[in-house]
Amino acid sequence: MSMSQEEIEALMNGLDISEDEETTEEAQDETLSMEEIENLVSQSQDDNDESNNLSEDSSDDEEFDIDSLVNEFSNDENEESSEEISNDEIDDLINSNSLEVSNESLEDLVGVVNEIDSSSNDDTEDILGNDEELSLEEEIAKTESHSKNESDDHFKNWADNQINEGKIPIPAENDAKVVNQLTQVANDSEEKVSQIFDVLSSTLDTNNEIRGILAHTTEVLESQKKLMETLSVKFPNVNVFSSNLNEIQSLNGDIDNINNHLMNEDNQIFQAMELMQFNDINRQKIERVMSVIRKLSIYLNNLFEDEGSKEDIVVAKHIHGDDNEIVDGDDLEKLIDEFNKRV
Amino acid sequence: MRILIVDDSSTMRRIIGNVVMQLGFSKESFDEAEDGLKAWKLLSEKSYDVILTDWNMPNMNGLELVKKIRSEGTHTKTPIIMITTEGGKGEVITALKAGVNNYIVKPFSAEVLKEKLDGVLKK
Repeated sequence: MSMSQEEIEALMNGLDISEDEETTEEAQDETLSMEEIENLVSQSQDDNDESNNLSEDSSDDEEFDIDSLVNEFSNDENEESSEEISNDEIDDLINSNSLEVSNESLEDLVGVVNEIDSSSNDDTEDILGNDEELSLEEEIAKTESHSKNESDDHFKNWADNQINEGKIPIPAENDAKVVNQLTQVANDSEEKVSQIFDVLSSTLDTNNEIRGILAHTTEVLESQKKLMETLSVKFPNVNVFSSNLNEIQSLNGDIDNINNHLMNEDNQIFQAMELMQFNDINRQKIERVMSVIRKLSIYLNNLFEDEGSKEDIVVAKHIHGDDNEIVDGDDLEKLIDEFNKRV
Repeated sequence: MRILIVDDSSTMRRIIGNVVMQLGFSKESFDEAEDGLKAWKLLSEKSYDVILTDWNMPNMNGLELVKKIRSEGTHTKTPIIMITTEGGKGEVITALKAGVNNYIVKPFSAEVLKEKLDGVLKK
């Protein structure tokens, strides 16, 4: 559970290190406000000697606890990392599962492929018979390519159907590996946010350039204003001087407005930049999810692993009670009789 | 005045750098490091007046960096502000005990960083 800055400050206000040492474990899940942090910081610095004396006795124990806890965590992490299995092993596991699941489906596939072969053979005969101008080799190559494409399409459709029906798992390719995808999302997001930051920075630079141009314009206008003021005093009857003076004052007002708009725009850009902290926070959330998935993967592999010294047991394909047809009783006797007659 | 910004997120380094520039510092007045190891290398080469560091980083994390800075090298007395997503009370106490002078929880506003920086620089 994380805390807001305010909560941290509020909690830190009443925080006394020496008192909290007894309740540190309970406080682990609590959050602190910024004011509390401030108070704790000031308190720890102002009462340095006192707090040191107070905390030394008890902090030894607490530091020992934290260190041992940290050590435990780091040991756990090391053990976990050493127990990680390779992607190849995961692939093997997934592939073996899919084979078991899809025995029947594979038989269907064989049927489909046979159909394709027979149809492609028919096509080949038709082509050979009708078009005598093409050479035999070209025709064979063309037909093989055609049948291969058809076969690929059939296989792809079949595999898609099987995956959608949940009969076989999604192949462990890069675009289906969860941690890989999350890593890619985090990295892409970081890259895009950086690009957005570039755009915002560029806008800030442009605003600064505009501000520079306006500053120069203001200087020129100020000198013109002084000139017009002098001329309008010396020649009060010449209206053009006073009207120009009014015009310059109006322009100065416009420039002030533009500067205010630029300042507001800068503030909005700064706010947008602050909001982009979401990316770092989200990335850390994604990293937390990835950590859970890795640990889960290790756990599942530990759960399902065997000693590995035993050979795969041959399993029965058709057992009484299965949905598929079982030959037994009279049917079995009949089948044996027919077979014996043929022999 | 020289400032060292340590964070593994390039976006965060830019955000913090931006706030630092809003405070009136130039772009040349701060350096960036993406983890504790690179920060330690910079600290052994140059002198800094303030260190702003994240906690969770690869290679050497912020807490390890703080402990290393406080125990060895030429920056044992340099103010350190930790800027992190870790908002638990236990984490704050751990960081303060390690030698952090102040603590900011992400997301933060420019005003908060300004106040904290002013606070550590005045002392």
